Amino acid sequence: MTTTSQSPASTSQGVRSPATVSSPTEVLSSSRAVDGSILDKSVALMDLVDLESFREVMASFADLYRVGVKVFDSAGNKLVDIRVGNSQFCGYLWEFGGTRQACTRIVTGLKNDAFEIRDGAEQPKVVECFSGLRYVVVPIVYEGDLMGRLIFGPYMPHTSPGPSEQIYQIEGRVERRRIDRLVEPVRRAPDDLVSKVLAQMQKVVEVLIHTSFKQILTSQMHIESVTSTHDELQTKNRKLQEQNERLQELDKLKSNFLATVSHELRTPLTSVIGYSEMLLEGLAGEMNGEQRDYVTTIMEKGESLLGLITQILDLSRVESGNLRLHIADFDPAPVVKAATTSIIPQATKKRIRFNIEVAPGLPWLKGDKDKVGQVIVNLLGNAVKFTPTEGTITLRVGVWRGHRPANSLHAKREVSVFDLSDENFLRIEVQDSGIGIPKEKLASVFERFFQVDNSSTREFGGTGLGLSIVKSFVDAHQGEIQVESDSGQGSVFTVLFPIEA
Amino acid sequence: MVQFNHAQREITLKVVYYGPALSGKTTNLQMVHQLLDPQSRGRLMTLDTADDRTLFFDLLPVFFKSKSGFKVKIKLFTVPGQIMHQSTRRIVLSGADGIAFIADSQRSEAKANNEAWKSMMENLTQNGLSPDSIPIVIQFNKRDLPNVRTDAEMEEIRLKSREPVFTGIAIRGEGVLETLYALLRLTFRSLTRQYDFEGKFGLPEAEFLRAIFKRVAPEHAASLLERLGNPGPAGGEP
Repeated sequence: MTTTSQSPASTSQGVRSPATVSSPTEVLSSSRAVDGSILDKSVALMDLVDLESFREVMASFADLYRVGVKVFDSAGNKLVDIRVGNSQFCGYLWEFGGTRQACTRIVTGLKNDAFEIRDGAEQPKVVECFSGLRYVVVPIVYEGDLMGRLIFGPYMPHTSPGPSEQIYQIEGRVERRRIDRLVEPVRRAPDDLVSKVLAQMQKVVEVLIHTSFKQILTSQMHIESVTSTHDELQTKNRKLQEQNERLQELDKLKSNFLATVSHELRTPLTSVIGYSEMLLEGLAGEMNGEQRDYVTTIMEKGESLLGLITQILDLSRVESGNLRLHIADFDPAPVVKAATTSIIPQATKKRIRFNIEVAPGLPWLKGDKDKVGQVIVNLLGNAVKFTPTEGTITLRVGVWRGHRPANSLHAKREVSVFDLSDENFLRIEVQDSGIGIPKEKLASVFERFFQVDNSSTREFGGTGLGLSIVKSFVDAHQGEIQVESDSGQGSVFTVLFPIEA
Repeated sequence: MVQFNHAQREITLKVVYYGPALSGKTTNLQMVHQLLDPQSRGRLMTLDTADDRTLFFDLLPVFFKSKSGFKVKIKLFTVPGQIMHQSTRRIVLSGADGIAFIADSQRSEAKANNEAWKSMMENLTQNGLSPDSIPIVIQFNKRDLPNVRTDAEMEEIRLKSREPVFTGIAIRGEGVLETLYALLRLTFRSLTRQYDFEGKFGLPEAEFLRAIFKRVAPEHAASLLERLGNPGPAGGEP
């Protein structure tokens, strides 16, 4: 929308002409910025055409019709000056004071005199030289703008008998015989030819201007668009970065909060469980059957709640970077044994067939044996949870030699693609005949809070933290975890813990 | 943004055709080019790609000399409709004195229309223009296609809209000049409120419109001449 400002009137003219002061009551200039878009600028003929090729085109016209051509832009700059045939003739007249003055007047007029305007358009004009030669001055107009002028000539009109008598009236010293000889090379041309030539030249110039203008607009717009996009992206990047930093901060706060709250929850819960246990042990006197059942339920629920809170605490520790591993060399065999022992009761309750295939003579691992044990317990617990009654679960533990997967976080950067040497791992595989995981959801199973079935009517309980914790523990040991599964096909979780050479 | 050049007695206005991709902005401009008197318009400059999609803009200059001796130039621009050309759209839209929003009448394009409208409002604001004060007309183009909004719906839209709403089949030239005419009249009125074109430049509204729309193709002349003789209040089709 239009706004009025105090910027000088000259800004609305682009590069073309000098500032012009409007009357003080009419401050009407636009507020266009000095570095505004090319779309709002007017461009001078000089900046518009490629001078070399423009001169070439004009020279070919001059050659073809053997008449000189001059081109000036609207500020009076001479762009083209090609003389044909008249140099000696005009040069001779230039030698005498009178004819030199007359010549100067004509030439200045050609260059500067305004065009007559008819129907809103500048009209070409014919200028007669005192010598009897003739010029035609044609306006160069592009889209209604006067961009400059094209001066065609001088030539001798076809109908003219020859050099004018005025020459001798102005300057008595001019020799008639010499004039007659020097005028010979000057082109004699019929006016209708001249007007045709000029119409053609005008057209060519217009096309040249149009093409050049288009090119300038295209390249300028390209630059403007790219600049604008770049600025916009930078602003967005800055905003995103700020947001990202803020989110990270919030995330950390949240993890800290979880850690604190879980801890605070655990303390009273331990008391609930402890006192229930004491009641069951009869420390406060014998209970009848019903009381026993109730207290047993309290204790069981309390323990499952404690398990849940422990999981949350583990996870929040991992996230807040407070996961502390107690690294030591240990024999994995008893750890595996303890994990299976803790799972067997649950499996038995569901009449699940539980195969345990542990290779003999496992090498020692360097790591946190509690965390490694928890990985096995969690994977087996999951397997039991998702395997229907009378299904099968298999645990395989052994040494395995091979590469890490391509997307591994722990592949050593400096050896990744060049060194294909294998590593030794303790491989733990848990296979179940459960409901499986749809292919498209496989990628997400290790995400926090992710559950394949997150509907409110889902069949299986849990927080969706188990696998995420497993992955954190495995990652903390520079290990790998993978899953293969599909709906109805059961699942195979494979964990690799590196064995140091 | 209207530009005044006192030294050369020139007034330059900028009008922009905006709208979603493939709604017919370029077609509108091509038809204006075809229908207006060659004396009052320049070449149609098209900066497009090999598959005829607008890359930066189309530009059609329309100009005339007022009786008072002022040269009036109206630059008609289109913006590129494809989503990726957002910054080009903003540059072209910058400093517009009036906008023709070319909407696609097909039902399936309602969302695209909405989004283009929203982006236009954002671009205007970012350019420092107030969407409330800039003259805008809306053209629902492609009325000849199947599955377009019904005439009854168009009527409803017209009643609801703050901006004058036109219908068109740009490819046949229908509604093209009507849209431009209404827009230029609104634009002139909006500008003259600030700058008093008649008082300061001796340019009354009737002369402004007549100079642009004189000698249009015969089939369009009749309806337009009617308007030229009777420049009624802004808005709506007759």
